[in-house]
Amino acid sequence: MSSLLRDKELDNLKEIFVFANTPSYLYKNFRQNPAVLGLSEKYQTEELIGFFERLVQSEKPDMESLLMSYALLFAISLKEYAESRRFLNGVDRHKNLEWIKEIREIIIANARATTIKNIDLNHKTNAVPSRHEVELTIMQDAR
Amino acid sequence: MIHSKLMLFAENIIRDTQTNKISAINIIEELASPGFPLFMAGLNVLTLLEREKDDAQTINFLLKLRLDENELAGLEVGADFQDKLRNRSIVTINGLVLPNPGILRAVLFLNEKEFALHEVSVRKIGETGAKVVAA
Repeated sequence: MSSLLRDKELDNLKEIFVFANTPSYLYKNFRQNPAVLGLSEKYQTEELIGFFERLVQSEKPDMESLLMSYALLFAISLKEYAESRRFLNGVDRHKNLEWIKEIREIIIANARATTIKNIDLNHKTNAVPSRHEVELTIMQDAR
Repeated sequence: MIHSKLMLFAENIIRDTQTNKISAINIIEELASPGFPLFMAGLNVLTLLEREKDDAQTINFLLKLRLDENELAGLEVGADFQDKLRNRSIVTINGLVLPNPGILRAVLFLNEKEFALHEVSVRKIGETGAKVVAA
């Protein structure tokens, strides 16, 4: 499982983990970490949840497994809240992760419900382009 | 009762995945063009909806874009509050054509009742609306 991250990336996470004195510090710094952002971008929410659930089965996890668990948890927190909500509601049962209850509360408190919708009107027109489009055309022509 | 706390038009709406904060870039307060019809490659409508605890978790509202009395676009938007009291809705409309100057309105309907409205004026450049009266 630790192959999801390289040794150097795990070292960076370890540095954050060792210095963390509050759950908020862990939340802020893990979510800003490029390795955690990379996990969130590379894998689907369900995959990340699967990795996390397999990893936290161990009763006495080593440091590497702990770091990966937190990395996965924060990667999941970067996903759409609609996809992670069910997982987050029950995540505090994993008592071997320090501050799990507090971290869960921070993640849920910072989550926002967002609806995103696109509509293409597909007009074929000889209409005058708006300023934004004129600027874009000028920039493209200049290249 | 579900209501809108904020509604605006912008050229770009960005959501930061790390902080989950929304930024509106180039807010449109007025549209002006020397000629019509006016083509808009992308128009974004940002709406911040707020519900009370007893209101439904998920709603389907209707967004209509009107230029004066002329309906330009209409679409149904499903919003899930996900246990929260607020929902941010970002609707991007690509390829909108404004045939003439007027008042552009985004109107939200819930159960066929209008519950939110935002409007900007669309004017032809050279027409300020103010009249100069010779002394």
